[in-house]
Amino acid sequence: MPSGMSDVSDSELVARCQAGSDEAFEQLVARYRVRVFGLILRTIGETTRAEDLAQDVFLRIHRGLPYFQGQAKLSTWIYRIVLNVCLAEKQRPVRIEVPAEEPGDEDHAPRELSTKDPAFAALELRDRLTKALAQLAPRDRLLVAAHYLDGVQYEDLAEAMQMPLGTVKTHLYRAKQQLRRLLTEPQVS
Amino acid sequence: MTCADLDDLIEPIAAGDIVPSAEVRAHLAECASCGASLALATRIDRLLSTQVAPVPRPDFTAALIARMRRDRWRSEQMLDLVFNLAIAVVAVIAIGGLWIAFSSSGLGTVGATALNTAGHALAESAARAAPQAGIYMVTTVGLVTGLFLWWWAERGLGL
Repeated sequence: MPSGMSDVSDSELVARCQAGSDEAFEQLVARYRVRVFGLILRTIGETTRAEDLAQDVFLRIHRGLPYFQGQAKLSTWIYRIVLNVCLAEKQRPVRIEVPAEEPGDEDHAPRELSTKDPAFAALELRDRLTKALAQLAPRDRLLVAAHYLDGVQYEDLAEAMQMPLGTVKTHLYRAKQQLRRLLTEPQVS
Repeated sequence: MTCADLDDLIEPIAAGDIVPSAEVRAHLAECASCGASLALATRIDRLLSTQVAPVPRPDFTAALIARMRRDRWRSEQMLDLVFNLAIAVVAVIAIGGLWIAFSSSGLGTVGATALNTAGHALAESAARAAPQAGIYMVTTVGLVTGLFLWWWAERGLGL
């Protein structure tokens, strides 16, 4: 990984990329690859395809950088490209991987395999949430992934999705409402 | 306040985006169904926010750079091919145009006559100059030697 550029701001990094620095572009990839890959994987649910699409995103970034004038934040522009790539991806059934929780969550506590065990119930809830996420529309999955996985603010999401702030919030609330309803439906074994 | 009214507020409350009013709090306290919905929404919110970001494979950047180089090489090859084809097309058009121009204007006949005349003149000159070939040879060698000495002297002076 290129050294000496980790402290450089996004706008400086863009300027160096526009000046033709391959090192700066590698740094840009290093800075955003986890976010881009994570968003795509959470949206389409297939690791190999997500890596290919993440590469497509960075190729588009590389081609678009000479024309990027910095009216939007670099991250916002990148989220917009991710959104376009994900929505252009052929619709296919998704298998979202089970989201792990950070250490310290009660799910990591010793558990017994009993339906009355809270830890088991939490594990089951997580599994059902994973399946429910797969049933959301791709745009809603991306919205949820961006907001929770990456901690993107509503304002940035609104700009990236070219939607009014209120609309983004409404979409996000409705997506979560749908998740809640899917989780309260009786399970079919 | 009914359960249906509250249903649309559950997610904003769970996300901490709105503070429930006294009326909402009172409903949540007395309605087990809405209370359970809020508890579930809060749980969903927490599960989503504690997801660990998946990471791409370690050679992701190297694979990307390799793919970019491959794409660049292909596009350069394509550009070269298009350029060469364009040159070939222009050359064919130019030669064809000249040929048509010569044919239609009668310049082709004049050109052939001129070529024949020039060929005869050249042959005549060569035949006339043949007896003095030795003198021409010595003069040429002398001239080349003189030019070489001049070049060598200039080079030696560092000019």
